[in-house]
Amino acid sequence: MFYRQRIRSDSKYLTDESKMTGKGEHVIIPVDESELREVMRVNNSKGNPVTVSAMRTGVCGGCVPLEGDVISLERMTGVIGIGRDDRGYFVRVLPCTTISEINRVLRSRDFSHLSDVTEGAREMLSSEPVPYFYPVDPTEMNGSIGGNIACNASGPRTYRYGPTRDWVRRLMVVLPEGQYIDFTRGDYVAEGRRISFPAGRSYFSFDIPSYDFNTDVKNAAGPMFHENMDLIDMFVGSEGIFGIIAEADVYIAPWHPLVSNILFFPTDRDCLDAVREFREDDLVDPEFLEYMDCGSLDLIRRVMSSDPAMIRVPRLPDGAGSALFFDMQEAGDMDARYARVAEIAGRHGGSLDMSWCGRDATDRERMRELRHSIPRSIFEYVASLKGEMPGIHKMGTDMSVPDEAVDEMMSYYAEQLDAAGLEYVMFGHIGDNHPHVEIILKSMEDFERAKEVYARFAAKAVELGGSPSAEHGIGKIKTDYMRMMYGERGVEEIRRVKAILDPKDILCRGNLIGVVQ
Amino acid sequence: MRFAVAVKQVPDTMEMSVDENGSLVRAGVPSILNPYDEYALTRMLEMRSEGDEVIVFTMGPPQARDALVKCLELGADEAYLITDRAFAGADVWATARALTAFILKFVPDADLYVFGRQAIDGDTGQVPYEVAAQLGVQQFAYTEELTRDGDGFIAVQDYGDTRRTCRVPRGSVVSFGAVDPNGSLPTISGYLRARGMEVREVDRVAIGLGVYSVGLKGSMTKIVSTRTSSGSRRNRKVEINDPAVGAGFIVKELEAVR
Amino acid sequence: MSDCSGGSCSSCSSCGSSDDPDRLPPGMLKVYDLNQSTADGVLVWIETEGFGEDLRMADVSAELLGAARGLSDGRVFGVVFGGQEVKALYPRIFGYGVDTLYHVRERDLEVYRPEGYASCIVSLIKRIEPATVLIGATSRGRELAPRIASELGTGLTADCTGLTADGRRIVMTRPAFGGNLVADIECLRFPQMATVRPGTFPMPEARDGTGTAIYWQFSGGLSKEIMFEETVTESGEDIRDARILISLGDGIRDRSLIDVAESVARKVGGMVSCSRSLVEKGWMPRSRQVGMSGRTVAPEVYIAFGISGAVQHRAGISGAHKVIAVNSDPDAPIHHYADLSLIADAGDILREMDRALRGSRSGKQ
Repeated sequence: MFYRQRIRSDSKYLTDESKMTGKGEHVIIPVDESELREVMRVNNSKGNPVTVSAMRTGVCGGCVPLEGDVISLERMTGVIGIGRDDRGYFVRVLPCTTISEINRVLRSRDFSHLSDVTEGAREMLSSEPVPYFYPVDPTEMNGSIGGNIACNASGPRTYRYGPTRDWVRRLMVVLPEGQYIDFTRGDYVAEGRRISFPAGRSYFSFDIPSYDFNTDVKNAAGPMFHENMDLIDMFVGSEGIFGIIAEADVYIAPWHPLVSNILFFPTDRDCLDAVREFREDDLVDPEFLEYMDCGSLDLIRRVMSSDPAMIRVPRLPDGAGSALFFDMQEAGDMDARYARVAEIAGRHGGSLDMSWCGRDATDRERMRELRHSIPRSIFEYVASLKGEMPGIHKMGTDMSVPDEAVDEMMSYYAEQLDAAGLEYVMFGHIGDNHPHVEIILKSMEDFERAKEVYARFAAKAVELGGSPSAEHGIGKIKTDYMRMMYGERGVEEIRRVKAILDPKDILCRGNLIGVVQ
Repeated sequence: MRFAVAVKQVPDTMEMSVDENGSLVRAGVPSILNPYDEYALTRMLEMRSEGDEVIVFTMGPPQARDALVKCLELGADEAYLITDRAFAGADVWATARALTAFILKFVPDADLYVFGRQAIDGDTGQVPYEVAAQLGVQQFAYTEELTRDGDGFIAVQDYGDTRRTCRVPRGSVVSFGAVDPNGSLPTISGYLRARGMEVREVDRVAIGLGVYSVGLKGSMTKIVSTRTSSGSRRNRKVEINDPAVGAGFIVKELEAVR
Repeated sequence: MSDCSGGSCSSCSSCGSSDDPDRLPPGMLKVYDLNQSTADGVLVWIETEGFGEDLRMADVSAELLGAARGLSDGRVFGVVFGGQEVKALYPRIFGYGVDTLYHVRERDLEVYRPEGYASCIVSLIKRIEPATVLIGATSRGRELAPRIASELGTGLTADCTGLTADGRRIVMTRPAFGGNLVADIECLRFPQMATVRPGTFPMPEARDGTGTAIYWQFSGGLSKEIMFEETVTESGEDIRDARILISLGDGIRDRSLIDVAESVARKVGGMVSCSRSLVEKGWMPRSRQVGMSGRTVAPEVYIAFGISGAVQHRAGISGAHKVIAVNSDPDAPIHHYADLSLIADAGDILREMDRALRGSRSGKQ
């Protein structure tokens, strides 16, 4: 038996942060992995499509059902165990556990209710001198770990810690036909491009797609395939089309006190030049580098007085034309490290006097709020122009390029947008060559023009060796980019793998590879 | 000139949530420098000119040091933490007495004693005036503007219905009336500067007060009990689909009082 | 006193004692020891507003006089500062139940000077030895009361929202910050002092009476050089006086809704107030702002339209008798706080109220 209920047309289960709305019949809420398997067996036998959903914080419609039922993993939540292997400590978590919950448990340092995955791990972790944390910061801390793994989420801290993929140790995956595999990194590795593994009473052996996944840049476009790959990497980033993550082990890292910093520069150019130097420097060692351009700061200045969430963000200094936000661990010779920051900033019109610095949680949060308020500020701005709440108000890019191409990409953005007469702001993960360009849509005409420009950006990013979907994933709304990156053939090959694992094509239809016509 | 600024560390009320009973949940709430005090401090830092010194002091538990470090980062020159287990449970009188004793011992020569209007965690802003009385100096409440004037200062005070401009002799107590909710953040330079500075700790003996003059024992008021307010909100929640129904609800409530 | 504020003060052992022999520097503090066994009665500071012909008693002073009688079996004393014009208030003051009124007619103290007022009231307290001293929690009262308490070395409870008597003892009730907790506080010695929020006690019935008026002579206390003073007249009314407040917040995105709100306020006999964001937008004057950085209000009904209810705002309305919230965001903190929460669009409800009230009003008249 499992919980199954008809869903209304305005149900939360039919949408996510992309605001895309789908269609679905029922929501099924399994309480554990065995119920989940039963759900899959039943639906598979009926050939009834199911879409997996958890916290619905995705921005590409990955959990939005097109038809059939929704499996909500909302009751499969919690940190359940702690272990340690050669690489270090890891936590065992259920799929719908949020990132903030994982960090809360780790911060509390009370592990008495958790189980030991390896002997004595709990005890050891609680007696470590420093607390631990899950280092991938996908910005949205209330997203689920299962969702993060399914789209290989990344965020500002990817600059230092890499994407989610690098932190996944083990997965328990329920396959569309109801079998499950419970495996650790290293258990099943492809020989060349052929991968084989048992699952329940079945045994799978097939050729993986022939394309190589781009790992040179930040990339969240589909599953990873390359020679001698690990099976884990096929599921990470697969957006649920191959199987449902029912449990996972993710590594955690020691936490050090951080100092947040914002350096202000006179112009965008100054800031970007400084970024290049920071990236090449070993001493400063920032956790991430986040950029806010002139337009972003102007936007903040404009809406700051009316946005209640910005109530605690200090007023921006008058001369600030762009800003660079970065965290540093409070370790090593801080004076020397900051002396280097001063040198670099000084060469580009900045200084340590034109800066903000925060140590405690509250101040750091205030600085974070400044950075995260930009998308909301766009909303406020468009609302103030239109005198009403806008539906569509912006279009944001999510593209990364290799180091050497970032300048070209940045000027391409500006050139194209200016030519199209569109207003825009740029901000984001400049350390990973992955700034977000948010195009401000003041009218429907803007929207049409923005769509064209956007497609050109995606093509340019791919051409420069980058990814058109660096961190948000593909979901249902960016499936064109899969084709753009891997060609019709690549997509067809992924589809073939899916047909082997999910012969009736019931799981998460529409994600990554679109719907077969 | 020397300006002594009294500050307080307070729980960050913005981070506080309300439980089902409507009580504030204090556990795990970070502590911050009281925004009113931060405002007063930044005003004094703006006024500081070459050769002037801004001294900050607070009475509180050892962790209140963080608030002082923040003050140093913002630009204060010296910081004192008045801390002693015996200070716990002090009411306004005992607090003011300890602060006054500290002032007379450590900063008797300050040109102004500066306070924020009130603390956001429930203090009602009486401490400055009790200190002023004990020091035997003039007090300038709700100060909006403070400027130098020859040997002293001129303050503009806002009493709500009147604004008055007064001459402020040196040694007076000034309490700023406003707050900047946006607050300020230190610069990296400030952060580095503060790293090389120390917060001086001062205990009960150092300010020369007896055990029965401080803390709970030295207090003149006693909390008999706390309870949920009898006027606690009823907290009835209604989802409204038809505005007319909602308006009806409110109009009915209003008729009850008219 | 001005010569006693410089660097010489640390070595000066007689600071402040030149004009008052009872005042010694702290550390050598000798507080006045009121005769604890005989202290009785209540002293109320009668605050006045306006000048000359327009002079009137502050509402909160009247409320306190009305309550004082019920709080004590002893006598009710009043102290009032000012010149000849105060005499016009005598009948009303006595009518509110004052047995003995002390009228301070020092030229220096005709205008409010916290230092002089405090020292003068202290001298009076030493004479009449009241068990309780009550002062309204107005901007002046909040500043004056601690000065008096400190000079007397007694306890003070600020911003009380309730007083109950137990013989000579008074239990003072005041809200704990922001939440719905209240604390009951006792003062450990006489006189017990409290500042009391306006509106805590009902306004007593106005009638004239007679009693004893004494001119209280006082010299000394610190003088203060007031260079000039201006009365701030802000669009007439004060939101702190309103019994009903229609308060607007960030959820009001259409400026024309302010006019609708004004219209509603007119019809129900209230005023329009707002949260910080509308002031910063320039839509409303600062004098209408409620909250930590604005005004503290205590109306009968406070209706928050589109106000999220950050603690800063709630701090300004904790004295409201009833709070109604209208906000379309079901997670807005105000919904945890209000007596009645409507999850609905603020603009829709406002417009509808405006319409409905038009109907009901014409029906009544």
